[in-house]
Amino acid sequence: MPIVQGSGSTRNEHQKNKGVWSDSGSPGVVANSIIGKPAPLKDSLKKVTGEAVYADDMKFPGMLFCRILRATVPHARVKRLDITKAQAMPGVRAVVTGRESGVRFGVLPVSQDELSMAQEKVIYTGEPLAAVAADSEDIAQAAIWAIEVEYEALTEFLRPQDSLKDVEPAQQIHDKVEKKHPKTNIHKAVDQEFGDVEGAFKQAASTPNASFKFDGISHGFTEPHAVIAHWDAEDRIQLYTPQQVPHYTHRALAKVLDLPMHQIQVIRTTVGGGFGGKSDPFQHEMIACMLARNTRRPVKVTMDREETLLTGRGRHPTESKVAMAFDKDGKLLALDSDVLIDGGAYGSFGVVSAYYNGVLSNGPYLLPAFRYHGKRVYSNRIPSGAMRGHGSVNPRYCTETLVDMAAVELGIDPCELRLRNFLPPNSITPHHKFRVTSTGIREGLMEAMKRSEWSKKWGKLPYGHGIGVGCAWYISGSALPIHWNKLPQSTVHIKIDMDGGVTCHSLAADIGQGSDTMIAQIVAEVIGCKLDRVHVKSTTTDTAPIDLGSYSSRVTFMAGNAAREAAEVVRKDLAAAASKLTGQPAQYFDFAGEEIVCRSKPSVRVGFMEALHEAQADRGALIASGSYQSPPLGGDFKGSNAGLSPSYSFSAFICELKVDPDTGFVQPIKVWAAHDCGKALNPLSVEGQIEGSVHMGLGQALTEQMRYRNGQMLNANFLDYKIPTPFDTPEIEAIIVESHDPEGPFGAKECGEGALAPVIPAVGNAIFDAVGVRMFEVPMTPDRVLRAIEAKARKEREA
Amino acid sequence: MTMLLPKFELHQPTTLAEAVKLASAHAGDFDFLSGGTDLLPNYKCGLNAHGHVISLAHIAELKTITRDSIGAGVRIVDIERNADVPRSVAFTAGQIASPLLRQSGTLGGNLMLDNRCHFFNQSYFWRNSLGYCLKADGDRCHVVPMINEGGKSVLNNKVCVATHSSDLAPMLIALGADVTFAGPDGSRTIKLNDFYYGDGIARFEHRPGEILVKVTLPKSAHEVRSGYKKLAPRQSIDFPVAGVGIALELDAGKVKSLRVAVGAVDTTPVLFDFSKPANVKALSSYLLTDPYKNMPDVMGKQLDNALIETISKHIQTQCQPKLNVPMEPGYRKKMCGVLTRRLLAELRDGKTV
Repeated sequence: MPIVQGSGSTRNEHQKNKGVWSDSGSPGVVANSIIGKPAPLKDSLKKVTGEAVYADDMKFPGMLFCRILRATVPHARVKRLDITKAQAMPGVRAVVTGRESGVRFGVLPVSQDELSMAQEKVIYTGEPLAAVAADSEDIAQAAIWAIEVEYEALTEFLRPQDSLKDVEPAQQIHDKVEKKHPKTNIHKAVDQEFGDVEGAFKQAASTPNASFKFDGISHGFTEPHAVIAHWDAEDRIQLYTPQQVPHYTHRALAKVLDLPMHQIQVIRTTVGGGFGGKSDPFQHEMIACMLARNTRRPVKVTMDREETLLTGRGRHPTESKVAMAFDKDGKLLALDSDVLIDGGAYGSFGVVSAYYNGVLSNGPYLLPAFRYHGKRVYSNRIPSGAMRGHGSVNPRYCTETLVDMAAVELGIDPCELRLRNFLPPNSITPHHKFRVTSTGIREGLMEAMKRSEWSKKWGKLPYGHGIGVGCAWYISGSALPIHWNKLPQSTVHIKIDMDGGVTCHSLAADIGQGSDTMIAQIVAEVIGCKLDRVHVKSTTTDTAPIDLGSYSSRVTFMAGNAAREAAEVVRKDLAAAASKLTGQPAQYFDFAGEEIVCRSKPSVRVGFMEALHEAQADRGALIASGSYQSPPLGGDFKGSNAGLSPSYSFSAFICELKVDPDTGFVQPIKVWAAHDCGKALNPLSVEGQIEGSVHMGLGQALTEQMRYRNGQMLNANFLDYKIPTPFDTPEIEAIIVESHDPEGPFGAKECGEGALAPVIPAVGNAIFDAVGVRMFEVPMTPDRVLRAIEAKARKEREA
Repeated sequence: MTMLLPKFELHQPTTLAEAVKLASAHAGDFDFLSGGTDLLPNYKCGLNAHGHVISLAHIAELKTITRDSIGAGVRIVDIERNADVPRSVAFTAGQIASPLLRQSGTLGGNLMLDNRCHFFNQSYFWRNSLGYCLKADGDRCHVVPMINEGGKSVLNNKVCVATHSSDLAPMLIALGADVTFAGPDGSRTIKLNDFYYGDGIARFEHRPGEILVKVTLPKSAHEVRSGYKKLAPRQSIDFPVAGVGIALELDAGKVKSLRVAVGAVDTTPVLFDFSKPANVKALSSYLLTDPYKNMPDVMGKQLDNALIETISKHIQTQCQPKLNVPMEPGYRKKMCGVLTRRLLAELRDGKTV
């Protein structure tokens, strides 16, 4: 895989900006013997051999099985809920309903709007109403069907437009709505304006604008939700759950169960994919704990695929009106967007989504004037939430399409127009004060252009064959924690005893993205030992120091920095021991290849184990702790926190494809995917993340959509929810761009999410190059593409 | 909403005679199981599950494949990889489902596939939410809620429009294949095309206790120009949402015989036999597509692009897909024309699969 060096940033430039730039770059000499080398993920053998233990694989003595009764209507008052028949069935050990707890929870402190089970009313088809724990799944299911429910219909809100209207309080889905619109079903409204937007549009040479529509999509992770709760004899509760964010679940459990946090242990099981879909605290987690409390026996909930899709939290269905202004040279002047976001039944991460849909349009291009009206509404549909590229993917399609339209109108090559507008490194965006440390997007785009032979192809391929470009940026960790406090965002502990094993403790969740391997690589690099000495324990809240978890692309940057800091403490201990053994000053030692070598006299060296045992004299195991906290960032207006990150990743993708003009089918041929991840700590893993992002992005671009009939999802299974197969997936050339971020661990930034967004507009723009039609609806299914081609032909005939 | 398999008694006969006997003994309360790729997912959704399941997996008589006949128990993958069957049949087999599913699915299973509808192929929970339908547990059709009866629009509690979604059926029908059954009264052989009959529930002319034994191809199947084109959202795993199988004979560029069978647009595959339009069986009153209405006379005519266009237009006009499987009906209808046009041109020009 090609690795391109970005000319991103230099340390000197950062030092000129003292006060803004905090310097947590890696001091001293590192050997780069492990960092930057491809390393298979530490859990990969277990996964491919089937040894990895998922929650549904686990069995406990006396374990009960839970099934959940779900609402069969989108919005209704519950007139009657009768569980007596279910309770009387042999083998049924407990039945719980909404009466169990009226405590509301949710991932964001500002949107605590979920009940463990519905009480007076249900608000979407699929909402939990009751649950049964029984000796077998069969019995539990039979008991579920024995529960009698009577509903009284309420007005259903199934189109986001309906949720904007003023309604009677009884028709509101939730009591608490946006303060500015108290009689509606609007969850969150964001209105921002910076710079002279009107003036920019008046003086512009090109003002492309369009209305866009995006269907909701699902994460499509492999492992359906499955958890086990156990209320033990010591009155502590253990919850085994495939969580991306064990810490927030831990907090929510304490609130709902009314227990101190230390009485609860959350144990992350192997996560069979998350992509944002396992980052909310969930109703089934609460339900399992309640049933475990009532029965004092372990209780397992395993969802089927349909329930998993109904649990939702996928990408929001979105409708946007967007306009951009450019001068005659293609310089971007302004962006004006109005976005309606269908949040479904709950708040989830929606307040963040409402901001991100606007503010993340402040890159990767310098944007002098900005206006955004975003409304995230409640509806009686499946709850939307955070999904890979959260809040940035749909608006990115809009802006990249409009940028392309401007390029065509102004007669400028679309890549060239983008090159004229990129944010420079070491800069701060004019209004939102987003601090861009490093960026390799220029190098990335130029490399993708070279490899794809862009200049020979764009506008020059035969009809039906096209090439298109899309660029993006993304946060490398949200700078602000969800729960406002002074604690570090990531902490890593290291313990080394005389056996020579290096145990790292962290609550950063390895969800398949390889964070355990990342931590091991960083620690091994700093203390100069082999990678297989390092073992990462990242599953259990009792032993792991708090980490905010795997969301917002924060783990490599934040947990990586915490691991580096902890390892440097150990390194100092080992250096002191080597100094004692050799008489050389401690600061003169290099660490690599299991040896501690005197820099000035390389013949003077101490083995890793020898130094370790010397360091352990009189004190036992070496213990170290490191942590990371984002530097203070941002402006001082309302909502200024949204979109802040200590660093940003950048990507530039080019897609070549063919469109069948008779059928509308789009066949991607190749994607050149240049992504600036700062420094590829593990190029193998980075390549995998880029390829996965491209595949997932192509799914949203071409085939995936959550289809509804009234409030019911029509395709809540993997035959009808169309994830691209290997045959639908083109060759992907991952181009790793290294811009060496001054604050990332060894220069690293994120690569798990940002690489998704550019795929979709690259496809849309390539379709335009192929057949001359702009696609304003995503996914770009064959019938939609064909309709656009036919409409164009009709227009041309009429003209 | 569970996906648990309902309880049933599994029978595993090793001879046809034994299987026929079991089928008679459990008449009305059994299903045959072959590869299970269609039946078991439906059972998990609680769709018309029965108390007895008779496995055909251990019956050797169903598993022979020769140049001219294919046992009903032959796996799809073994048709796909067979060098002796017509290339178009092997190619069509390779279009079915996914490589993994083709390892267990069989010819018989593909021909007797249950019809599909997005209001039917859903979990028990889902169907409970919607209100059940004619084809399972209910008394109405959600796709065509009203029908015309004696000039009045009345609630449709009669006709199911679920789509027949086999890939092999249209190809084999175009080639003029026969099917042979073993039953309590001995064996019988009929045209595959005559086997399909009725609406989305009745589906075929299948007598009690009968087992599909084999498909026999006429000698001409190896001689005619034949091929299949499939429309599906993805390039693997999906059921067809339209599929066109064609068998064509040309004499000096002129049409000598032409049979076009279209799958996945109606409750059964629909044969457009341009060779003998005058001599067709009475069509099922349920079938929405009428292949012979205004059928153009093409016999003996030069198969030029204009004639291909005429044939394709006819097929496009007559096919009446419903909104009950993925992709819009209007789009699928249009694609019936496109697939026919492309396949006819390829067959004329000697392009083979």
